[in-house]
Amino acid sequence: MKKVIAQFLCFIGVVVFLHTVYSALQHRKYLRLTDQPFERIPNDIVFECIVSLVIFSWGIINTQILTPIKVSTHLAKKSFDSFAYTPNFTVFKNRGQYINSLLNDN
Amino acid sequence: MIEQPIVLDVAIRNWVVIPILLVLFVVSALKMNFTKIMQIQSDRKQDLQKTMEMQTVARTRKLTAYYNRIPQQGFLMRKAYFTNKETGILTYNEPPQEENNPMDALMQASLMNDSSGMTDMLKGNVVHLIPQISMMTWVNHFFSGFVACKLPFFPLTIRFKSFLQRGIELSSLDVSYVSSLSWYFLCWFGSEGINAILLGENIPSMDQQLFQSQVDQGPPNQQVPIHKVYNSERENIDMIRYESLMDNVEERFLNNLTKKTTITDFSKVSSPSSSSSSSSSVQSKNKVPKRR
Amino acid sequence: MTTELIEYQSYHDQLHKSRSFNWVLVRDLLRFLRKSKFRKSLIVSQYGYKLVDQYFSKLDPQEGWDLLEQVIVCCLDCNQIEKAQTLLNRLVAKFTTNSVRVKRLIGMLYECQGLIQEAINVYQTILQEYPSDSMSMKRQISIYKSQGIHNRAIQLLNTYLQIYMCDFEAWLELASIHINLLSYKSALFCYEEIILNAPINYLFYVKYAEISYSLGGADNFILALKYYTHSLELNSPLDYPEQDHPPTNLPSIYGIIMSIYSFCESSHGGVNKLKDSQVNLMEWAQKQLLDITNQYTPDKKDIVSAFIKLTDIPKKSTTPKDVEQQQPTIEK
Repeated sequence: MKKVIAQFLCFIGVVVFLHTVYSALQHRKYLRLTDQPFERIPNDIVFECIVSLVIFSWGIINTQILTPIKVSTHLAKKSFDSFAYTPNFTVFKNRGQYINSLLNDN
Repeated sequence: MIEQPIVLDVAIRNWVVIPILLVLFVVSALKMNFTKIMQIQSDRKQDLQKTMEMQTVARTRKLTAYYNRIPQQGFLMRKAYFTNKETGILTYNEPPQEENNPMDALMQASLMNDSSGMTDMLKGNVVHLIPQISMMTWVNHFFSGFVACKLPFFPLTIRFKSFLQRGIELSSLDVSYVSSLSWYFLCWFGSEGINAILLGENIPSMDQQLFQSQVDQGPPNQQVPIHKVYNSERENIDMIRYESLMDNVEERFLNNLTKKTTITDFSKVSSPSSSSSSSSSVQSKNKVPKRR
Repeated sequence: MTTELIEYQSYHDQLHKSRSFNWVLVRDLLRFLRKSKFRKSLIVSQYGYKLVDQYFSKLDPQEGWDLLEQVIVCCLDCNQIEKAQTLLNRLVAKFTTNSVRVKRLIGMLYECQGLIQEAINVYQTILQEYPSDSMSMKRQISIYKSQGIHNRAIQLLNTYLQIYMCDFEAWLELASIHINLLSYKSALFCYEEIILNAPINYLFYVKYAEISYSLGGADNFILALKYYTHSLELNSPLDYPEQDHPPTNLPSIYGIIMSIYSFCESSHGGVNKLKDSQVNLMEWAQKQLLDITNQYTPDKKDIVSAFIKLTDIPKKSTTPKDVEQQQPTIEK
């Protein structure tokens, strides 16, 4: 799923959620005007809220590349040199110092 | 109980609810920075003996967890190194005072030897307690005597009333209406998560710790005396019955492969050869002594 | 998703292609090198020096000093002592010589210049003040290693490891010294310790198997085979269909082929001592090697098939009589 579509879905989810909030407030106002007791939010607003949650979650999951859960896939990408890395034991008397002076001269 | 909701003055929201929240947030930010500074300046003495003990315990834990990945010889070597009766590392001699009065010895050991660790703990507690107490008295002094907010949705019992409505002397008031002190408590309990998100960005990442830059701090105060830990670790090692992970690794690997792959011709190749060799190998296995 | 080598190569190409000095790219490259633990001192000292010299103010304050330390160490690695000295002077000006980190860097500078005794003095003064400072102990060990006095280095490392038993890096170092001195049994012990510390990492099983193979002997060949197979369990070329980078665990496949071949060569009729699963594994490994070669490097197909032919094992004998006599058989 493309990133743009997923971001669009996120936006839609947020808009639908705001719509549920607005409609719940309108509902309460209506009940207050007609002197009815406020017991619970009507079913369709609840349903709309859940739908917005699902849309938003699906959009968020697809906007980013998730890292695989197996550690070994992450380790498989490392190179062999990096495993024998002992930075606190580096020895500075190595061949590099002579080769580097040659390279610098060139 | 009152059915109609009470309408509270907007000024309460502006000058009570929000300021308490802000002050709590600022104080916890200051506390975090303060503890960081205190940690840098703490001079827990580095004790070689303590470090060695902790590292030993960590190593034995790793051994008990992953013993099945090393060959049996290696495991037995390490087991002997740790649990041998005379020379094993984990046979720590108990101090002689232990028989007289265990509580006494415990307290003595913990207080005398690790005084630096104790002061660190005390300092940490003090840093957390003093702002708590001062903020509570401040809230009580300035913001008492009125209803601050209404708790939604929670049907609390009447017994909470005296706690949540301290300072408000109305016996017929619904329990959902609470004083500002309880709002303070609510914020305090709930702010931990928010603080972690907002203020927790400057934890040094792994690559910054690569060069092991800071001077190693001394090991933290050990609550349990070390020989008890050693004894429990020794029992753990003794209980292990060795089984190698590598025993039937080839079969396991090939079985996993045939489940996973879409290469179908492999299974065609393996079945005729395995059937022919298995019939002969049944006889051969009886004759040839097993090498493994 | 690419392997880190490929990622490094792309950074390298970008760096050489760009005409002007792109400090953001250099900073990202240095971060990547810290994370992926490659040792590319020439590049770091060349580009990093310029970054730290001229663009220091644009960096994060916390990151800047860490970067400075990284560049100093890489300059010392390339023996560019004047550059390292100038950067070190900046550090001394900011943190004064009372800081332990700065003292260590001064010690490293002495090491690089060859002033061994001064370096040892610096580390010993640090140890007097902070008796359990592990870094100074490690530097002392590497001084002896650089002088070629391996026995003393091993001795010091052993005493260090008696205190810091769980120091993963030190076990790696001890193993590499033992391998240099060809004492493979001790190296095996160190690698067992390393496996206990990092049991999920496929590479240490490969290295353990390689040392075991080098020791030789039928038992060690089988041990090597088992460890190669386990490392394939952790990182197989067939793991994920979506794996869009080349397989990284080819040494295990070669290792399986070589260890089974060597086992069969080392004893008469060795083929018959192999289990069926091991024979199947050998066939699988050969097929897998050919598949991977065809897919990724088809120009090397001839070499690989020649290798496979050379290391092929004879078929297992089917008549029990020959097996009893323990002789190589010809299949009827």
